[in-house]
Parts: sequence; structure tokens; C-alpha cells
Amino acid sequence: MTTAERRVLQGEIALRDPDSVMRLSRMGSAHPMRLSFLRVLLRRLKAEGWRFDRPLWEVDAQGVGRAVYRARGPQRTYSLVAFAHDLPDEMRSDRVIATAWDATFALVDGEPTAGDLDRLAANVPLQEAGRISAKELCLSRANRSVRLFSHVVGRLAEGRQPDVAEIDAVGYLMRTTAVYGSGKFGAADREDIADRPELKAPFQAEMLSVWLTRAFTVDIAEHMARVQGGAQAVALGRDLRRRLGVGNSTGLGMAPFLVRHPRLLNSWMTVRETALARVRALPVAGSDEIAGFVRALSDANENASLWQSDHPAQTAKLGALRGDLTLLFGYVQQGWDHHAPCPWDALWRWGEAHLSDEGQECLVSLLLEPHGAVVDDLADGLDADEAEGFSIDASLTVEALRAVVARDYGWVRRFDFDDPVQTARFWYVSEEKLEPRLGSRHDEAGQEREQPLGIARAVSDLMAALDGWAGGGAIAAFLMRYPEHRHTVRRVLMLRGLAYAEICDNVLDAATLPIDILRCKLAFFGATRFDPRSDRWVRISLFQGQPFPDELAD
Amino acid sequence: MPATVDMAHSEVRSLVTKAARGAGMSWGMAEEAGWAADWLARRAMPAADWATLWLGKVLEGRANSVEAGVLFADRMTAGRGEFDPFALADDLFAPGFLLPFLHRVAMRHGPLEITCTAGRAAKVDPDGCVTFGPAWSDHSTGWSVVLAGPDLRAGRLPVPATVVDCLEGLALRTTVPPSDTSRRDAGSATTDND
Repeated sequence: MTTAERRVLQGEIALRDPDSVMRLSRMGSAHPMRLSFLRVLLRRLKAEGWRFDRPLWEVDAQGVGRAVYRARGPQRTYSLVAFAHDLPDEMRSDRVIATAWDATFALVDGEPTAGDLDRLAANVPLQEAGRISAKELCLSRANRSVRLFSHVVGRLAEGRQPDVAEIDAVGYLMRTTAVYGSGKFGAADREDIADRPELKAPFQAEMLSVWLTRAFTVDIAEHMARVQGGAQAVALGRDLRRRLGVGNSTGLGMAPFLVRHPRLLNSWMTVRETALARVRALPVAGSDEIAGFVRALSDANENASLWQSDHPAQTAKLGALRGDLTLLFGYVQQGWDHHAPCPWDALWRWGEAHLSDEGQECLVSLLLEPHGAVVDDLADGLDADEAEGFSIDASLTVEALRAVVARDYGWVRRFDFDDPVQTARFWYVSEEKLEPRLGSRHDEAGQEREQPLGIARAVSDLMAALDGWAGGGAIAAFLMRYPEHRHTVRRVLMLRGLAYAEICDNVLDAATLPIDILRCKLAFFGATRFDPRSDRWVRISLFQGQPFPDELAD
Repeated sequence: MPATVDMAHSEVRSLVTKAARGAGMSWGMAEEAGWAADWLARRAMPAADWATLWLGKVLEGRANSVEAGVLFADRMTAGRGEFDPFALADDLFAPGFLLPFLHRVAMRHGPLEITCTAGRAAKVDPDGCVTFGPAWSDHSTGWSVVLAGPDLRAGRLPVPATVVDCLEGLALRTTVPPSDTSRRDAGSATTDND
């Protein structure tokens, strides 16, 4: 989406201003929606009639063993290979320092042979210390929620169902702590699979892996219940099972992704904003769509009531969201004229005037929910050619570069990088664990090894260099004189006119909350129950309320 | 670690980018190095091995194939359509890393070749095909002529473990040593047994 295209009206509705949408405070209020990646995956699997089974289950009385979950589509088959382990509590850690997990997984392209299973058994439990092959698409691991897993197993073993309040309080039996793909640790390169329709949208292999993992989490709990309870053990009720997702524990590692993949970010945001504009431009509101909207609003209310967090920032946001939803519910019932022209746009405009960022972003999701026929085709645009424009066109003139910077990066002038507060943070990679971290520039060592994620400051530096460049001519000469700006010049040119590619904020500022970046990305994944455990890592739930493989065709 | 590691192309690109940065190159130039390594790996050329050769020269502060290639490509693409012969500096180690940048220029100007008094060293076509000539030289032995089309998908890149170690050692120079603050902020004080 270029700036010019953004200005093209969708009906009479322009897309939202990136200088608002791409602020961290707004991105940190993002909600999952029907164009989120896990929803895109499930719609495709259902529409194409994929079939699922579990051809292998070799798990012993200690809960140790292996299993295979198979997903068979019209053209290809994928298999989740799961390894169940017996992990002492003291070894359970979600952080990258962990060396053992309750379960480890690999998503295999096709069906694993006996040799594959043995090879994976020797590597997958090691995670980062092992190697997988081009036949694998993802590598992941999961830890139990000790409390809920124990409760569910105990109840099922006694022939009883678990307590619904216990299930809702946690929301998952296991949480993944990393899901690696795209060539990591030897997995298939993204480009090797990106032309497959079922994997074209972002993170589809990862989503499939997590969705099948969700089935495993229930199977292993029921297995342990049968071991404990014998004949009196029962299976988990379908309704209760639906309330379980897969947890995910995510730290700073996810945050740099959105900075490093700006063309992808632009695609995601453009799809969402285009979808919103399409709905707002609808001349009338059909009764089915209104009913669907009200159902979605009711579900959002229930979700907000169950959504728990102890983090002060998130607690405040939750309070705002609950208040907003109450306001919205009242307005929809008593104030909204759904017979007026463009009623969805009227509702949106009311929301912009009366709701907080939280409420407005939730309203985006609610407006899209009943309009699948209008917006679902946009999912085809969620991916991006990230290689396009990598080679710098050195024939471009310095004057033209100045013009691009002035047009696309005017927001950078909001910041003052001479102010120590606005450069208080620096992003680095930990030597110890090779994970991204955020340091305090003025208190911690290591800023000389800073990662190039402070885009606003880099562009500000580039602006200063361009201001001081007396010569005209091609940028080749400028780059020869200032090789340190090559990274920024490439970025500026690669993203020329892409309205939603950059986070229009300063990620080096002392007040920056990395969890805002995490929330935006996780909302696009389709995550719910965003629960920050600090400013730097969060827990969320995936697939909660969504069907299981044996229910998808229902 | 086994004697060789089959690396995904994205892994090669990421590792060489970080190693180049760790060896002291700017982020922008390090990205060019990573991109070039990826280009070579896709054509089944020993990108990682070659990278260790020229990165060693970067550490010594000497001219290297990537910077020479970037300089060449920038000059040639900045011209007014005319191709100017370009004299490469002597003693560029691992000259294979020039090839991706020659391809960048060939896409604009047509097929290019590297020649010397001994004849042709290499020819690069606009479609990315590379043909090595009798004058090609570096410190490797046993090379074959490689014809690589743009859609050719080479298999995994077998990289000697010693090469991986060398590159990872350089890549580590982009990382920050541990500290109590760093560990604490990353969540080391919290329990995960919920």
C-alpha cells in the first residue's frame, strides 16, 4: 500500500492515518480479528476439507513417549511430531535458558518415516542445541501449566469434569515458549514453501503446529488421567475443551521482528485498514451482519471479563476496554441508527469520538467480524516480497533521496535525540543467550554493540547528513562518503511510499514499552488474553474458543 | 558438532551479516555481505567458507571483496547508462563475493566478465548464471564450472564445522556480555510454574 493508494477512497472512506495507526500506544491496543493468521488458517483448512488423525501414540505411564498428528489436505500432508517428557518442576523455565521442556515438537513436511522419527528424537528434545532438516517446517516446545494440568488430570481420573473456573483462570494446559520456523536451526527456508497456497499467508506453518499442539495437550492430559484412574477415567467434555487454548510465553525476541520486517508489517496493517474502510463504506447494514456484530460484541464482553492481568499498564487498559464495551453496548442498543446511510461508518465515527484507543481497536475487530464476505479475500495480501528493493539504486539523486525522506519520515522530527531521555534505551543481543534484550544506555555497558533498531534516530542522523551534503549528484557519492548511512538509505528507499511500514515512534525512548510492539504482532497472530508479566514479556493464549481438529468439519 | 552443518540459506545470510558486523563493517555493508552470501549459497557456492577468508582481511584492515563489489555496483548503477571498465584492487581474497555485485550490474548492462592477462576468470549473465574461466583463482581447490539459472534451487549448503565456529566467533562480537541487570530484566527472578 503506497501513500497514494492509501488516499484512494474505499467508497468514500480513506484509510486511517499511519501517523496515528503506527504509534506504539495504538499498536499496543491491537485486538485479534478475523484476518488474524490463525483465523485465516482455520478458514482454509475447513473450506478445503482437510482431514486430521493421530497415526502414532506411543506414550508410557510416566507420560514419556512420542506421537504424530497428521493433517491431510487436497495436495499435501503435514505432520506434527510430538515428544512427551517427564520434567521435574525445578527444570521448568519458559525462558531461553531452559534446556528441557514438558513436550517438544517438530512440524514435518509430509509424513515422517521411522528414520525421520529417530532423527527427530535425537534432535527435537534438544531444541536450539539440535538440528532439524529441510523436511521440517517448525521446531517448538511447551511447558505445562502445573496447576491446571494437575487439576484436569486429577478430575478426569476421578471420573469428573474439571472446574470451569479453574480452566478459565488459566486457559491452557500447556504454553509454548518458542516456535521456530523459516530456516531456523536447519528448518526449511521460507522461500521453499511460500508458494504453497496453504502457507502463503504469514506464519501458517507455525499456526498449524500450535493448533495441532493444542490437540496434543488434551490428549496427554487424558492419557495421564487414564493411567491414574483406570476404567473410571473420563474424557474432557467438549464444551470445556473448547475453553482451552495453547498458552504462549513471549519475550523481547518477538519485538525486533516488526522493525526488521517493515514490508511485511506494511502488508498486515494495509490489509486490516483496507478491511475497516471496506466495512465503513458499506451503504447499508444487513440484519445478519448486525446480529453477527452484536454476537461479537457479546463475546468481546465475556472475553474482557475473563481477561486477567496484574501488570499496571495492562490493568488500566483492561479497565478502559471494559468501560468502552459497556458504552458501545449501550450505544448500539439505544443510539445507533442502523437504518441511516453508511451505518457502520457512523458507528465507527461515534467510536472514534467516545472510546479510548483500546475500545477503538476492539471496535475494528468487531466491525470486521460479521463481514467475512466483504473482507476475507484481503488475506491474500498479508504476505510481502521482502527482497524487493534490497539493491540500492545508486543512480538516484541526493535531491530525490531528500524528498523521499521528507515525505515519508516527517514524523521523525517530533523527537530530540540530544535529549538523553529519548535515547535512554538500546537494543542488543545477549552474548549469553543470543536473545534480543533492551538495555539502559546511560547505566549499562554494551551500547557500542547496539542493534540497528532505532529507526527514528537513524533517519534523524541521515537527515542531518543530507542537510550537510553540499554536492548534488547520485547517492553513490554520498554513500561512499557516509557508508554508515547505507543501512538507513536502503531502508528508506525500500519502503518508499509504504504508508504502514514504519512504527512512527521512538523505540529508544525511556518510556517505550516493548510489550506494545509484542501486542501488535500477537494480535495479528490471533492471540487473546494478552497478559504482560513485565514490560518485556507476556503470556497469551492461542486458539482459545476455536474448534479442535476433530470438530473443524462440524 | 558434526563435521559439516547443513545450513538453510536464511541461516547463512543471517550468520554472515552478523559476522561481518562483528568484524567491524557498518550495518549497511554487513547487510550487503549477508545478501551476497545468500546469493552464492543459492548457487551452491561455498559462501560461508569464502566469507571466513575475506572477513579475515577485514579484521586486518585490508581491502575486501564485498566492499569492492559494492563500490563497483554503486558506480556502475549510478552512471548514465554507459558501462565503464573498472579496475579491481589486487589481492582481494575470496573473489567469489564479487559475483553477486557483478550480477547486480549485469542486470542493468548485460553480461559481464572478469578478465586478466591469463584470460577470462568468470562471466556473469543478467539471469544470474555464472561461468568460471581458466583464470579464476582463489585458495580453494577442486572447483568445477557452475552453471546456475535464476530458478535453480541448490540443496542445503554443507558448511565445515570449523567455518561455522569461525563465523559464530565473529558474530559474537555483536553481542553484549552477561550482567545481573540483563538477566533480571529478562525474567530470571520469576517462576514459570504457574
